[in-house]
Amino acid sequence: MTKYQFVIGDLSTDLLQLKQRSGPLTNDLVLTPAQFGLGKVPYRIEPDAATTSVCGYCSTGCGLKVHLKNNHAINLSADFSYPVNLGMACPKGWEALSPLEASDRGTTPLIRSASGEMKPASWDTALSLFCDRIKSIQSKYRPASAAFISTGQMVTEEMAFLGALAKFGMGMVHGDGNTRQCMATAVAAYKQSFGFDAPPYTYKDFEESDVIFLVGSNLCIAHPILWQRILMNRKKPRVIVIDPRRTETAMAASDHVGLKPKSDLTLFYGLAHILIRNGWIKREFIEAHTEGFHDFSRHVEAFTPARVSSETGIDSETLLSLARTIFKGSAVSFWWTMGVNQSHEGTRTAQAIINLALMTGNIGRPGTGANSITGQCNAMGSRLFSNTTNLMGGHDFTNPLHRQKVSDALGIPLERIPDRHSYAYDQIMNAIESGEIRALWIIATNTAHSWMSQARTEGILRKLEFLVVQDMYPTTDTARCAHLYLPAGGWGEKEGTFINSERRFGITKKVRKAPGDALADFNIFKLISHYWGCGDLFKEWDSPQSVFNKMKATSQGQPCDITGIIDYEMLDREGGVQWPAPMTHAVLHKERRLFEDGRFYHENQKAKFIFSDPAPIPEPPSSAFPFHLNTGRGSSSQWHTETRTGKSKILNQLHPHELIVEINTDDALNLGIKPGNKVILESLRGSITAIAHPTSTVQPGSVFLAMHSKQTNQLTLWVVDPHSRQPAYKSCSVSLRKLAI
Amino acid sequence: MALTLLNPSSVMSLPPSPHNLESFQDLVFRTLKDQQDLTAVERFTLIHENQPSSLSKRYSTLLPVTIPAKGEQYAFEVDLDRCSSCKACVTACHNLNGLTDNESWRRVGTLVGGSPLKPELRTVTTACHHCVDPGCLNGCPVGAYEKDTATGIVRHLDDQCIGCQYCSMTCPYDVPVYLPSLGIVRKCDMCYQRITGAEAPACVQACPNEAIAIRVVTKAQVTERAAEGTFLSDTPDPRHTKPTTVYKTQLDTAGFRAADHFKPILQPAHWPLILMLLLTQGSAGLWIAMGIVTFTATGPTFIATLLASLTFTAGLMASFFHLGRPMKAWRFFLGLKTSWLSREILAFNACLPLLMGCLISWKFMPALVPTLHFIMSGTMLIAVVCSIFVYSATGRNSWRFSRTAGKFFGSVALACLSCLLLTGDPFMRAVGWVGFIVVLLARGLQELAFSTIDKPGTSDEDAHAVFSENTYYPMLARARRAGYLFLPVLLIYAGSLHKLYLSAGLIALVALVELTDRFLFFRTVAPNRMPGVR
Repeated sequence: MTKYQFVIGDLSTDLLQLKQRSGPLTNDLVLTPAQFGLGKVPYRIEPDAATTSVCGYCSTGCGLKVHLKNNHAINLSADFSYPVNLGMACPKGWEALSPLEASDRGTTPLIRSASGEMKPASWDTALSLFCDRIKSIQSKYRPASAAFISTGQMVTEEMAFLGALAKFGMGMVHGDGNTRQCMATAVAAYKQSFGFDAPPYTYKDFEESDVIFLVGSNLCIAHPILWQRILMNRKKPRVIVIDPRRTETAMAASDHVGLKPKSDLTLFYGLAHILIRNGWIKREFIEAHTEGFHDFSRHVEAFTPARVSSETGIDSETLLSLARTIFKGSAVSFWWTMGVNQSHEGTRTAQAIINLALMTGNIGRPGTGANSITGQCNAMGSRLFSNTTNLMGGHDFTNPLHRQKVSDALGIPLERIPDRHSYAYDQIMNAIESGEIRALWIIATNTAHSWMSQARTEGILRKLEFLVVQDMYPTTDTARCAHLYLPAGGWGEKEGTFINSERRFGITKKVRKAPGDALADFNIFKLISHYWGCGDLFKEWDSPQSVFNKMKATSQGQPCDITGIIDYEMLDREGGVQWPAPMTHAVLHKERRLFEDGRFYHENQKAKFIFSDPAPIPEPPSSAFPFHLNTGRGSSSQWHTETRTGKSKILNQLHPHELIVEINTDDALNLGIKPGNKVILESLRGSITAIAHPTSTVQPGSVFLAMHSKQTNQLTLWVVDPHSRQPAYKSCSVSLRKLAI
Repeated sequence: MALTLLNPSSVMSLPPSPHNLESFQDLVFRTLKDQQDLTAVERFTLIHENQPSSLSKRYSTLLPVTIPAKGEQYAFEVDLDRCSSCKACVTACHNLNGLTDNESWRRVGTLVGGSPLKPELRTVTTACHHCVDPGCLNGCPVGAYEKDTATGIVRHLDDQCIGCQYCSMTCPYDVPVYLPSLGIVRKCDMCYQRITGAEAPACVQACPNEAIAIRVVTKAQVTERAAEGTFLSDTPDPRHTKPTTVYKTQLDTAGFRAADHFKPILQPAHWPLILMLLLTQGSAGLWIAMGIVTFTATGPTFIATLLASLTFTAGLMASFFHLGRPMKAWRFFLGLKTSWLSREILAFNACLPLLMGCLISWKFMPALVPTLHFIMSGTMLIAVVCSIFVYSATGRNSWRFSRTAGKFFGSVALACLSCLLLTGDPFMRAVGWVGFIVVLLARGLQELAFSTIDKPGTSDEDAHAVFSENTYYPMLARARRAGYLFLPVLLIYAGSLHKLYLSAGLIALVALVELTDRFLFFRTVAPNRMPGVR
């Protein structure tokens, strides 16, 4: 209909009636009863079929119901039959299709020309260049001088293919995932404490606890659907939020423990001290299933309530009451997220939480556990199958038996499997800085926004002789730095599995065509294997399902055994399947937790108490930089560096558009800063401007910035936890002043 | 970025690839083709066609058990304490109703308050409040709103709408949103088509925390609550339209403020309306001037009448460009009972035949001309009064009657006086000069008083408007003030020189100042609205 017809076309019918109750505009909003259990849907977009697919944003792993027309996704809603989300989704999930339609999608490979512009190229040219450049750098220096940075956002099969291709096929040694930025700490903590990277819980535990501790976890904003599971708990649980900020979750909880920044480890040792002193512990469980408790109890002797109170800012009565709550609770669960993981001593803090669960017997029973809530949709896939930190299937590169097993399972010659650990993300960055690594292949992550100390990071990326960025958009901060850009298909344009926080394999399906010549990452890896000349090595890796079978083979006998998952159709039918799912399991119940038999994955089947003294804050506030800067998620409608969520017009209305700095009301008053004023924030590493939002949800002396703005990491400090090598985004010191106009 | 040489031919030292090129291009071709194939999904069991929505069990407690009786209606009930700020309601409304681009009939905002030791925050999800006395319905000139008698749902007749956007000004909650692509406004209908089939509205279905429910309320109850001023902190006075939504919370949110309370938010400039107002008011000034000149020796001229008529017609034509669907505007009389916009349109339309009459009389019945000029002046004045009410009736504080009248009558007076000062009659010229300068100064003082916001009694809305002016248009705001206060000085000087072109030039400058003023009038007004995101 042309604009002209639209305006006057219905004039003749118009004149006949005073009230026009029907017509094209009214019809535009007519709803029709749909099938597929959808209720009413817009008539214009009535589906002819529907299918399910697991969401590709966070690790909650919600099931979405995709409305199809001719196999093409035309709309979506939340899936009520999926055991994770029970018919609900957060706004990112509801808008999962929008980022696919963005006008800046990459539709062809781009090569940076001598003049510095990105010029379109064919896949043939691009992949020849890719192989030639990397080979030449590898032959000029050494094979390990080319490395890759992977992601928690691809399907597991793609991660497995990438890791195998890069390490077994292309001779790379170093590769890590952006999951280093979100999950590494929980991984390290679980490995050391339980003997395997094994979050023990199932989401049902949210509904079965009578006491729930949320540590450094803003569930309402970061995992809204998991907050739903807490609200579904009929026991009216006591929810205790431990967070220096009074977050949305802290306000919605029964108690908020607003401790001083970075005093969490001391707090947990202090609680352990009180529990032991009062005999509020489960002796039989400790003796039967753990080791190291004696040393641990000696260690926490020094953490007297008086000391803990002065170091955490929490009075001793509250400490006592918290300990008593743990003791009295019949099912106490402890959950943590980035507040713990992104810390200079995150691993020990996570283990201090694990220790509390172990000593009070709050593990292996319904409603209990020391539970890490993951970040990205496939953080666990990355941990277990990406061939980065672990040899595929949760194995160890340095263990000859493991190498032999994987070699046999995959049919990859043993000598092609590296016998040493990969560098972690920060070590890869350091190695680029020192010239040890010269070529980098970045897949589906945005280093030039998300990594710490951006000024230094930018310098490091500039040092690369060859930077390849494979992403949905050539417009990400990182893709803008690339020498070669490869256009990738996104969620919905490919098939494969994600593993969510509760160890559930879920399936995501191909329901959209990729734009232009964009290819699913899987297809890109397949092409590269041929262009590189190692196609024969991967000739059986021809579809995601076949790679899934390879993954199954490597998982056999491991805690993450999935040999009992027959195929994708089974995952689809069952609403996902949690690992372990070995072939020997007769029935795989929908919700399963680990350690119900008290047997852990260490050789002696005991869990370990692991601890050390709290380390000082890497960059304590000083007179020049008197404020403690904390960073984190801004709103439920934003995802990380916003390469995808930033494309949805509807999501963009749900959060502030300027960078907001939250500052304590008293501090603002002292500095003469009013709401809405522009302020300058400075750290040793950079200087940015933001809009002041005075609030007492942040403590005096603290400020908070959302991580979604590229500016935030101009300020952050380059420091990692020594055990997990996870960046400590939550703590550095800054100065703040009003911008003179 | 320092770039290294990227020419593939520069790496010829490598061993030649073991493949032949042709098969590789085939492989790429096949892979690209495979990527475009969507049949893979058929492998999976598609969801059974007749699967019932098991959600209906879940939301059954969120719907009323009975349908509204007489004197009752449906209303949203929002439990602020259950809302976790996930905002799924906004996206679900968008998806399940098939809305365009960034359109959603639900919005979210934040209220902040509490004590320094225990700061609190509540996310406020808001849609249409389906008011007992809807501002949109009362403002609509063409009767495009109806309050459903059975359910009390305020429904918008999309095909009746002319896209005048007046409802988005008369709704105190900023609910109807104009869609330029469709040329109409749309708004929440409480999922009328769902709720009348016992299905929950999209937002109710989608809330993970069951924070939104539909309840039956009595209109008397709503009116009573509104009279007490009970609605929600930092929102417009509920007495105006009697909103039915109930916001529940255990907190005492009395002192809570919207997180964006201090944030200046610009409104549409509405250029066609700016032009319409200035041209019709200018024209009114000319007609009045002609009425006055009748008493002088020279009297009005045909050219002046023609000029006044053309100005007026241009103003009316400008208003057409404001409408999204102007061809439907003939139904303007349907709103006469409640809508000042209807009345404004009627007054303007009444001017048209009079104006034609005037022009014809010059040719055939010159004796009638003065009388017609008087009648025309009177009608024009009535139209200007209607224009003032159009804005003051929105309840927007900085569009209150006194301020709007000062501006609109100021324009009329300036046009009239500038006309007089260009006449041949020395007395009229003197009156014109003095009057012109006095009116300019008066307008300048009115604006000066308005922009002094630290005086006692300044409303938040006024402060907001001034803050917006100073933040976004500091130069324009200054130029306007300078124009009103300093142009009089120049005028006195110019008057002493007796140069016509100089006077005409200065009058043109005054017209520019008026244009600036009307631009700021629209752009910086503080809208009445619900709390927004900061």
